[in-house]
Parts: sequence; C-alpha cells; structure tokens
Amino acid sequence: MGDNGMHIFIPFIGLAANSLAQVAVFRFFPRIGLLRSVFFGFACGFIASLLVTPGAMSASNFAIYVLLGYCYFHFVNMGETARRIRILTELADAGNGLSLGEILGRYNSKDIIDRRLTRLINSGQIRCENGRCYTGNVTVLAMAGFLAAAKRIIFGEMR
Amino acid sequence: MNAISHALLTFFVAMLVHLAIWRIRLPKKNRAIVLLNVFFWTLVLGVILLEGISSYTDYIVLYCCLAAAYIVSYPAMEADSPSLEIVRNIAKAGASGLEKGELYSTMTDEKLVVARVEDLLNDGLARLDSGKYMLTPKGRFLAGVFVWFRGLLNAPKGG
Repeated sequence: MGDNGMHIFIPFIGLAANSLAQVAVFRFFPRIGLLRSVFFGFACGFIASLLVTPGAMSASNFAIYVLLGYCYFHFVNMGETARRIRILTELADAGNGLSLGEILGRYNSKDIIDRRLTRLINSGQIRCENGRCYTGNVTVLAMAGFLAAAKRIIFGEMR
Repeated sequence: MNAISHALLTFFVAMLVHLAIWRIRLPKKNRAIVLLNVFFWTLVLGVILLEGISSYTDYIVLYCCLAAAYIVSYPAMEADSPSLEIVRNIAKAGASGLEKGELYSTMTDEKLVVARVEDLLNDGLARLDSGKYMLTPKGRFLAGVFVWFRGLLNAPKGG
C-alpha cells in the first residue's frame, strides 16, 4: 500500500485477520481454550499487518493494532465472563421477559462462583483441597491489586 | 511531536477531565455515555488545536483506539469482578486457606446478579414491566450481537 493515507487501514486489516483466525481456531479446535485462541489470533493479525505493510510498520500503526487487539480481547472476554451479557442473553432467550426469581433460577451466585472457581483452578490461580481454597499463581491477585489502585484514583476511595 | 505523543497528550487531557468529573460529581446513570462524551469533546478540542500537524489521521485513529481501550476496561473498575473478589478473599485468608462455603455466603445473588440487573435498567438495556424484566431495543441488539458471536465460536452461554 502506498502512503497516501491508506496505511491507516493496515491495523484494521490486521484486526480482521486476528478475529478470523481466533474464531476459526476456537471453533475447530476448542480444546485450545479461549485465551490461547485470542493470543493465536493476535499473532496471526500481526503477521497479516506486516505482510500488507510496504517496508517497516510504523510505530503508530503498531500501537493502533495492539489497542485494537486489546479491544477485541475484551469483546471476546465479555461474551465469556460478563454477567450483564449473560443476563441479557437469558432475557433474549425468554422472549416475554423474566421475573427476578426466574432470572435467578437460570443464573445465580452459585453458578457464578462455581464457574469462576473452575477457571481459577484450571489456570493455576488457586488450588482447592478438602473444601478449602489456597492462593496459587499470583497473576490474578496482582491484577486485583492494580484494579484496586485504579479504583482509588478514579473514584477517590474504595467503593 | 509525532502522532503517538499527540494522541497520548490528548488522551491524558481527557483522563484529567474524566477524573475531575468523577471526583466532583460521579454521574448516577449512563456513565459510559458521559465517558464517551468526555473523550469525544476532548478529541474535537485536540483536532482544532492541533490542526495541520503531520500524520493527522494517525493521531485521530490512535486517540480513538486509546479511548476505546479505556472505555472497554472501565466496567472492570466500576463493578467488582467475582474472580478478583474470590482471589482476594482467598489471599486474605492466608496460609490456612478459605473454606469454599464462605465464598457462597459472602458472594450473594443480591451482590452478583441483582446489582447487574439494576445496571441493565440504569443503562437502558432492560425495563421492568409488571414485575418482569424485558429487553429494550438497545438491549435486544446487544444480546443479538453476543448470541451471534458465541454461535460463531460454537461456544455455550458465558457468564
């Protein structure tokens, strides 16, 4: 692509390749897991961006691609973990609306905790033995600390 | 200064405006819309002040990507993530670990589900009609996007 302003489309081509690769690999090889499929898609998108870039990729295009990849990761993650999205899809499934009791019959705190415990155990963040849970890998704990600090900056206090 | 530093500077200004508004008077409803407005009007100001810089398009696209990345991350700071809360509670319990039952008693339906249903009402994604929660057109659209995407991934309901 020549540099007549068209170069700005390169990260978006990368994003398209990223999402296509992520969807394809997760759909046909679900055992890879969602997070690994996102990383795989990101790498494919980056390679696609390099292939359509004449010469070296500009720093701004690289930054745009990384940010687009981050937004795509959030979109995928929302479908997987966001409670609001799950409640929305339950309401969409029901068609004629649901009472609070009916929502809780389909999706409740026990489901939420059990799903997360499974994910955290599978990723090694915690381990559970004889009904007790212990800290494992500290990545998510570090993330919790970072978010707590961000909350203090934005809201002024712990909410 | 290049597109990256201009975009970062504009983003920094938008963050200052966002922090000032949130600290002075936290918006009660539609915080995402307020946030979008903050980022949009800061960009308008940036575009006027920085008219004529080289790589103008890169600046605008990069700034929009920075804003999008922040906006998609914002809900994680506002609502407590159950996974982070589980990890935090387990870490607080120390070496003796935390009994699983304690998680079920502290992380209730009220906290994990009802609060998110309230968010859907506040954000205009659902409405309460004769004791039943129904999707608004906006909510139906959002639910449709995620149902379609999860179908594409061949993945079950998330949450």
